[in-house]
Amino acid sequence: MKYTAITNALIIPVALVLLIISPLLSVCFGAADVSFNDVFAIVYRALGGDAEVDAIKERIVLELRFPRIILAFLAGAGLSLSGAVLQTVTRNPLADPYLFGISSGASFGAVLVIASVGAASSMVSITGGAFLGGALSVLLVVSLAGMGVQIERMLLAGVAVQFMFSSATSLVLYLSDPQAAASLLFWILGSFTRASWDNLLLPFVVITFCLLVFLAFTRPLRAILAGDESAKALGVEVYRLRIGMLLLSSLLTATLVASCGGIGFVGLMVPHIVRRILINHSQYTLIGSAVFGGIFMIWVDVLARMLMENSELPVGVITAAMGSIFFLLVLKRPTTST
Amino acid sequence: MKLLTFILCFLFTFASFSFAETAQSKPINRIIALSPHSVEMLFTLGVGDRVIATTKFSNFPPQAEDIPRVGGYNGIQIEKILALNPDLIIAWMDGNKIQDIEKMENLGLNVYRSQTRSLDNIPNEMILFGEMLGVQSAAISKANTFNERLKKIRADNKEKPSVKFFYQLWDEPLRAVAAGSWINSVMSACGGINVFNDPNFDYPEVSIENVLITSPEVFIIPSHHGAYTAGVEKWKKWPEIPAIANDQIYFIDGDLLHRFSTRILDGMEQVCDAFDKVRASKLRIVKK
Repeated sequence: MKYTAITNALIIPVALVLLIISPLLSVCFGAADVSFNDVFAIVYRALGGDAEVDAIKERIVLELRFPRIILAFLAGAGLSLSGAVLQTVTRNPLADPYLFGISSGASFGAVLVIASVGAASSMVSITGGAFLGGALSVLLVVSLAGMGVQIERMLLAGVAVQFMFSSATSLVLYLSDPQAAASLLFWILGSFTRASWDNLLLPFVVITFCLLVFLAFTRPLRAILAGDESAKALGVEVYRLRIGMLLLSSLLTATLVASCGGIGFVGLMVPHIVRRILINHSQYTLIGSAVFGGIFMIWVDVLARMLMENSELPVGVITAAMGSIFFLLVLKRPTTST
Repeated sequence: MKLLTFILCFLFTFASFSFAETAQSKPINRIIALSPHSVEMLFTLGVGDRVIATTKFSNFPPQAEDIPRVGGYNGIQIEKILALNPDLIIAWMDGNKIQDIEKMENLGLNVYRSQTRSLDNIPNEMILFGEMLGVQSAAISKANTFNERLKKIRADNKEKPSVKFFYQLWDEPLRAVAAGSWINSVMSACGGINVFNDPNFDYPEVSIENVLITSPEVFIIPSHHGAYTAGVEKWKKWPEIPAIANDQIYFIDGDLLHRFSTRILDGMEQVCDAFDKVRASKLRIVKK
């Protein structure tokens, strides 16, 4: 109890400190040498202050690194949020956009657009393709699960849909020429290299909108956690709420898949960790998942940039490696709270 | 026992010689060339009409477009190859799957493993093809012409000031060529210094930031099968890179630079011309 009390008291200041420090520290990592003092001076100057800075370093920090860090934060926040909601509406601790087939559907939609239009595909068309793929996977999962939307059937349907879209994506990859295949593979495995200030608006708007809607439905969502019958008794329209939340999660995932490819397991891991930390504050699980998911992804991206000299690792490879270990731990230890 | 071993060894050696002689003496009229560069080379030697099948991207000379296809980078249709009953299959060690090559060999097909990998090996391979196909004199003559032209390009560019280049092999993911690659040897013959010299990767994946801090003086962007997919738009906002500031971006047909055929010299001359333009622009800047 003592531990819980201390954790609850410290969690908000710790989150705030990490939220400010992580971007400022992580911006120092990259191919060019940029010190913390440089970053400080560049940020001070960008905010209207008077400081002497190296012009190239200033452009590297402001035009390459900051958009990338913000996209990483948005991706981590959005995927974790989506995972937290999916785990709640399905009452299954192992649900996440990846496991549910939404990511594979969105990836397939985006891959199809890139493969048919080419490297010149616009962000809007990729997002459209990704969303249609994601929505199609939700539609398939729901129709396969039956009108009652039984959770077990839904998860099994999710696994089937995931395999179906993964095989379709593999076929597109197989039929593409080597350069297109490498480009698609690089994108499927997740990367923030395409980040620019222009590309940040869409994920930012979608994540903010979804977060606000999810927060507005915190009470009915918590009611669903107690079971469908109890929720119905409290006046919650379980079926409609579940479908609505699934569609919103699909929009969230599709937007992020379009921006940075498929990044798995973040949506599974982060909400679990957050729930363990916020034992007595389950109403903050959604915000907590978004904040810690974003911070986590910033540092995963630092690893992706720094693990290999002169080269970058796909972000999805790192998250999948971490996630698979986490998955095993979750399976091994019985969960006390969902 | 010793006598028996001796007799067996003798019989085996004799049989091997007889087989080799039969294989050599049998005229090779039906060739399957499993790479675009071997098709080009066979046409250069005047035996293009003997090619009965090839792979997806064999598009030069134009007559090559009419040759039936038996696969591509995804794999070879071995059943189709068997049905065509070829006298010789020219496989490409860096382009065909090793499993496919071994399977064809295990099926008793006459497979030659082409592994060119360097400029100087192109004429050597040409002479070898000439010997196999009975066109030795044509092969020696073409090889000599190639060697002389290559020697001249190297000599003409040897004393010229070096030029720092970035070879943008692919746009997304952004991929360069490094010092150990085949393309690098073409570039260095023209006096080029590669800004990426990673010894661990011949074709490293790089970031915009990597390119920015290496300050290349010229960008060479190859086309892929006739299409220039590599974007240059994203570079235009980085005038800090000398190549961008001085508008030194050159597009070259990738089929010229990426194939181990005699056309590589045309590609090399274009690269050398591009480097000469970079040197001239540097001079203009100094004079200003």
